Parts: sequence; C-alpha cells; structure tokens
Amino acid sequence: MAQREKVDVVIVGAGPAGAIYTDQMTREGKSVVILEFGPDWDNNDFISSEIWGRRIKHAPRFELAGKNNPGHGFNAGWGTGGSMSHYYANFPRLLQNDFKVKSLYGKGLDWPISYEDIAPYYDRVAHDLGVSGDAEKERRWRPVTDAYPMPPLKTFRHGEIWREAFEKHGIPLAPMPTGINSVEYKGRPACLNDGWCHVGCPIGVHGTPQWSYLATAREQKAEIRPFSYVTRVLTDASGARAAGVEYYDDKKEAGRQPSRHDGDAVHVLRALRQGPFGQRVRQCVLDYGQRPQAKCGNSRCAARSVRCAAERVHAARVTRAREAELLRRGNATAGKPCRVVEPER
Amino acid sequence: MSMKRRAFVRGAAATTFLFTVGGIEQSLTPAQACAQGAALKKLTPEQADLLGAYVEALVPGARAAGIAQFVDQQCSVPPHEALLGLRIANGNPPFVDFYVKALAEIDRQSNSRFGKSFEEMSGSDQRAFIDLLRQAKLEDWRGPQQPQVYNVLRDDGVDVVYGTVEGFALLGVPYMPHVLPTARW
Repeated sequence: MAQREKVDVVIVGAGPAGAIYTDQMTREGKSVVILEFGPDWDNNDFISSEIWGRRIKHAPRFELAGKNNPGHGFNAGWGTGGSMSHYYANFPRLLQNDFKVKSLYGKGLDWPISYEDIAPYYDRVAHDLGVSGDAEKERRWRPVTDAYPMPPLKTFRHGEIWREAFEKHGIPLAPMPTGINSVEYKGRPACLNDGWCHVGCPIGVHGTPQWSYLATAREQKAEIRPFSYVTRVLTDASGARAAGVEYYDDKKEAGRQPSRHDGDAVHVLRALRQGPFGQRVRQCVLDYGQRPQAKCGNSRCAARSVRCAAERVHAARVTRAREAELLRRGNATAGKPCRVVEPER
Repeated sequence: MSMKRRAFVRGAAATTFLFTVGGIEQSLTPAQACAQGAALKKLTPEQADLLGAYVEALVPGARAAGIAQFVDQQCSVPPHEALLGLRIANGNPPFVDFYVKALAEIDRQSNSRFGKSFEEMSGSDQRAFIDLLRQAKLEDWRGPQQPQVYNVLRDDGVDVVYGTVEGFALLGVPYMPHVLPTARW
C-alpha cells in the first residue's frame, strides 16, 4: 500500500462542506489534499441536456450493507461541487423558532445554538457564493442581518400570479433567496434565465463551490485528487486521533494519505458528515463507529452520523417518532459491516 | 474555471452511443440503431420487443425512437456513465437487473390476467394494465415496486422521444443551451 507524502490536512469529498474547509485551510497556509470520489468537473462537462446532465448526479458505485440502505435521489451529486454543482440554488434560512421546537411546541429537539449564533455564517456564505434576495422583506420573520449581496431574481408572470393572490389574502411573501446571480457578481455574469441550473451551470451564474471556495482553494495550491475512493479514517495508536485516510486512487491502487493536522477522531467524523449527502463518508463513519476504541462508541452515535443534511435541516421540525425511526433505520445499518464495493471505472 | 457568457454554446466532448450493426461498431442514435437492427448487448430480443411495446403504449413514438436500443446500450456502459433515469430514481446497478425483472413480471401478469402477452393485448387492455400498474393495483406482483416500474419506463420513453434537441422542437420549447450535446438524440 503506497504511503503518500504527509500533508497538513486531508479532506474527504469536494462537495460544499469539503470545499469550505479547503478554502479555510488553504487561506491559513495549510497544505491540503482533497480526495474526491468522482470526477473533477470542467465547464464543458455541464452539458445543457436533461439526459446528459445525469452524469453529474449521483453515481451509484457503492452502497451500504443492510436492508435499510439510505438511498439517493435526483438531487444527490458526485464530483467536485457535489450536489451543489446542480442544485436549484434555493437558499432559505431557518427561523428563530426552528431552533426551539421542543421548548415552543413540544416536538423534536431544541438545538444547542440559536438563530443569532448562526446568522453571521448565513451572511458570510451568502457573500462568498453570491445570493440574490430581499433581506428587507424577510425581516418580518427574522432579525436584521446583512442585505443580500444582490437584488432578487426577476419574478415571472406565474410568480406574479401567486404574489397577487397571496396579497389579496393579506399573506406576506418575499422573494426566495437564491444562489443565482441576478446581476454580475465577483466577475461572474447575471443569469440568462434559461433554466439549466439542475444540470450544472457552465458560465458561473450558479453559486456553487466550483466558482467560489474551490476556485480560491485551487489558487492557493490545494490539490484535488478525483476518483479517489476513501475506505476508512486512520487513527493514531490511541484510536482517538484521526491521522489520515486509506483510499484507492484513480488507478485503483490502494494508498494511505497521512495528515499532520490530526484531530479528535469524533470531531473529524462529525466534520465528514456535514455535506448535504455525505454518501461516501457514511461508510467511514460507520466503520469508525464499530471500533472498540471509538469515542462515540456505539451504533446510536454512528447512526446519527448517517443522517444527511437534508434531514438535519429539518430535524428541528421532526417529531419524536420520526427521530426514533431515523435512529432505528440507522441502527439497522450500523449493526452490520460496511460492504465496500470495488470502484468501477 | 474561466467563463464567458454564452461561450459554451458549442459541441462538448460528450460520449456518443456505440451500437454494433453487422458486426461493425458504429456511433448511432437509438432510432438509427433500431432501424438498422443493431445487436442487443444486455436484453434478449423478446425483452426488447416487450420493452418497446410497453413504452410505446405510454409514449407514442418511443419504439421507433429506439427505446429498447437506448436502454440496452445504457445498461451495457459503466454505471457512472449511464444516462438512465433509473440512476436518479434510487436504482442500484447493475441496472439491467431492474429491467429484466420488471419485464418478466409484466409478461407474467399479462399472461395470467389477459391470457396473452402484452404485445398481443389490445390498446385498451394495454392502457388498463398500465393504469393498474401505475396505482400499484396488480396483485401478486413479484417485480420491482410497481410505481417505480411505471415511472422509470415512462421517463425512459419521454427521454428518447422528447429529451433531445429535436424532441424540444417537437414540443415547441426553445432549447437555449450553454453546452449543446453532441449526440443528436
């Protein structure tokens, strides 16, 4: 097994979460390697076609064992940018009460943070990626935060029909904040309104990692290794510190990529699961969760880790029954060994 | 990534479809492959006929557009290169398994309920059959979930008939591409 040259930080996955970490680390002068399961997409890969656009969506080359496979859908992705390379760019924010649904409504769980804690980061991402919207109109629902960097997108006739109808009933509406340029932004053009967001935007209108975090990370010499299939997180002798990963490279050769920036293994795994889908990292998380030295130490913890962000975003709204169901499903999977399917190329 | 507005309205380096006709591998559209009798790679001729008949009943024009050749060819490529709707409908490879199981069950149900194959059924019986399938009302169904079969095969049909540049034109919808697919289907 090849031992790669040690870097400061190794990041699994070049999706939105991995891209943000990479950008942050490279800005701090760290040497970073990103191991991405899929291709490193180029502009010309974003073909304007419903059919050809499927190539940038989830590539089912692996699966978890067990009868309750988490599955995937049309909105999953692979390759640089992950699912954000073809997202619909809706950028809603949680409301203040979303963080306290247990206290307020007796449902779900309260978050350990509040809207006020997270609001500065919403603003920061909006400026990094480029979000169009009307913050003033949203302030009836949320405390004042920064204005969006761009005005809202044009409202077309069907949107006007909805707006007129709601206004008649006294229901306030605000334009949906979107990660799409309504005007030129950071050297990227305004949207042409031709509707190809879902198959990838090759002209930079779309606020995706390719045009923001990954672009700056590349300038800072971050290395992206496409078609790298990570199989597990390596730890030090104590088992409590993450020290790199094992993976198959684009030639299907097994290797180890050590990192200097070791971290609490549990924190590393928590970071791994932050992407919208985190399909690939689920195996690593579950694998680690089954080790005797794992700090999280039980399948319940690992099961929590396989919940995708889409579910987490709504976690504050789910009922106890739903939470129990999620855990039950996760446990059913976590109790069995991960089956790593040999990558096909 | 450099960018220029509308700079990508040109042919991309997209993979074309390879079919074998008369022992010679050629780049063809599914419709051309159908018309020229391209060799099947994954499906049997019977399965291809049934697939063509079933999808034709849902999306007229699908058979001549090469639905069977399209599905067969796409099942033969590596899963991450496949363009099948099944890929984004929570289907797992090998994709051909889904089609084989679905077609086998359509055939079994057709014969048990109507006493004849799906291809031999009248148009109204075919539509009645599909309507039951759509609603998951075919009892003793032993294939993939009925709504998934309905949706995936319907979407495949829509893909080959209307998912192309020419298909958009049939619908009167302007295509407005950034990166135009080189494959003309």
